[in-house]
Amino acid sequence: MNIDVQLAVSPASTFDRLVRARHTGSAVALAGRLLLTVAVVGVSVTIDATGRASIGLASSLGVAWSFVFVIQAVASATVILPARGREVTALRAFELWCHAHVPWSLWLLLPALTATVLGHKLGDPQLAGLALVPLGWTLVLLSAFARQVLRARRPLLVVAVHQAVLWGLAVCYVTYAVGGWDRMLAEIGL
Amino acid sequence: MSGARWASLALCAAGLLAGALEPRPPAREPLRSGAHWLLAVDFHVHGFPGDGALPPWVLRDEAARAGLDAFVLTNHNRVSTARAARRMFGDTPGPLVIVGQEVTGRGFHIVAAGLEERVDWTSAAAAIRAIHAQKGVAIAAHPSAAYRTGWDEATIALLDGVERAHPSMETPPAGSQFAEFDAHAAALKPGIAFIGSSDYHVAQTPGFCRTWVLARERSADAIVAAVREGRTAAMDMAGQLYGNADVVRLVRAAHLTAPRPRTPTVWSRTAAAVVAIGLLLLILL
Repeated sequence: MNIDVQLAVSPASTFDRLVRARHTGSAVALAGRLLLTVAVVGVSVTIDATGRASIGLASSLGVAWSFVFVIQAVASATVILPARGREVTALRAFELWCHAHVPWSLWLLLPALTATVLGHKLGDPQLAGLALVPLGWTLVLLSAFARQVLRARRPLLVVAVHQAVLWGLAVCYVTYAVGGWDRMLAEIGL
Repeated sequence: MSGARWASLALCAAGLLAGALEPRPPAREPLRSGAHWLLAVDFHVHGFPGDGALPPWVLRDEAARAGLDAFVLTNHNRVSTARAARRMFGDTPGPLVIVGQEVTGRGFHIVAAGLEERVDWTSAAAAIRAIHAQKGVAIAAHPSAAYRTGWDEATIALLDGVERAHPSMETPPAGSQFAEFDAHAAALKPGIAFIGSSDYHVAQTPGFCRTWVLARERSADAIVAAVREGRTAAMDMAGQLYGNADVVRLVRAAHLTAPRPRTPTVWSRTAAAVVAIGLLLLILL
């Protein structure tokens, strides 16, 4: 079992072990972890949208959709940078948080796997329902991250701030994509 | 990195390489009919950034694979992606990209094609006038009951076209509601253009439903003019044609068949499966 899966299965003890192992971050390790997640996003979007996968398509769509990592980085920065109790550098904290990608990576790959291996395309309602699993799982990971890595006295507050920033930015993008704030406000009668 | 992870990475790379080696379907030459071109156009396609999955450069390639001669990039209440795409491709070979917008308001959606600037969405009538002021055309998008409360007879009479073929028509009762709205529009405005579009976001493929356009030349302006003059036929996913009798006759004579749903070849599906499995193993091992 690799370290990412160990972290997904037992987050508190794994984060604790990783913090003890090294306090300073490695840009190479962070880049490697980001590359893996860009590949997951690129491959899942390319298979969902075209039914195929090639180097050109996966890299193209991975780069196009990499704005989701910018959102993730901003949300992480809002809780990592102000954390005064953390014993690791900010770079190491980012690196450790990137280890927690497993729940969402599996969810992203699921429709690509069912479409290509089983020949069955998952519907939007099914995917939305299944998203509750990585959503809840990530909250558990984030809570462990807040306690073991950031040494936060109020880990639930860290979880709340991170999720508020993350989903707030995601809602901003969705609003842009479906026609703008003015239209959204009009739709709800404001 | 462990041997198992290297093996997973190699599997993933092999799948991506195999996917890249798959031969492309042959490019379809645009058809001529006397002095006119018979062009396959998708008037309703969403791209990234927006709520479509594919950025314009991939979208254009998908449109070429689907045998389209042109498509209108119609993001919700935005023209920025479409304008960037038009600038990006210029006169390079491949499907034409026409700047459009899905004017998304309360109780109506309008596909606008041939725009330069964003159109305000607050009322259907005002939107259509703004589209016409830019020399564009206005098409009622997927006019099922949910998207019909913003229309009145005077506004319907301003339209240049109606979506007659759309993937949602397979879901009852949308099909019969489209037919009812379109018959009403045709009675109010004889010769109104019937349009087929995919409303592509992520599923299916661009051109899944399409429009055959009899255009004087292979250009965005000529395609828009053909809609204004009603020289179109909508084709649904079953190959059923609706619209201008001359265009329908020409399409039938040319034996142009129904657009195929996305059916990856065994090669591409296997390559994609290998990539997905490789990535899964890379995450887990």
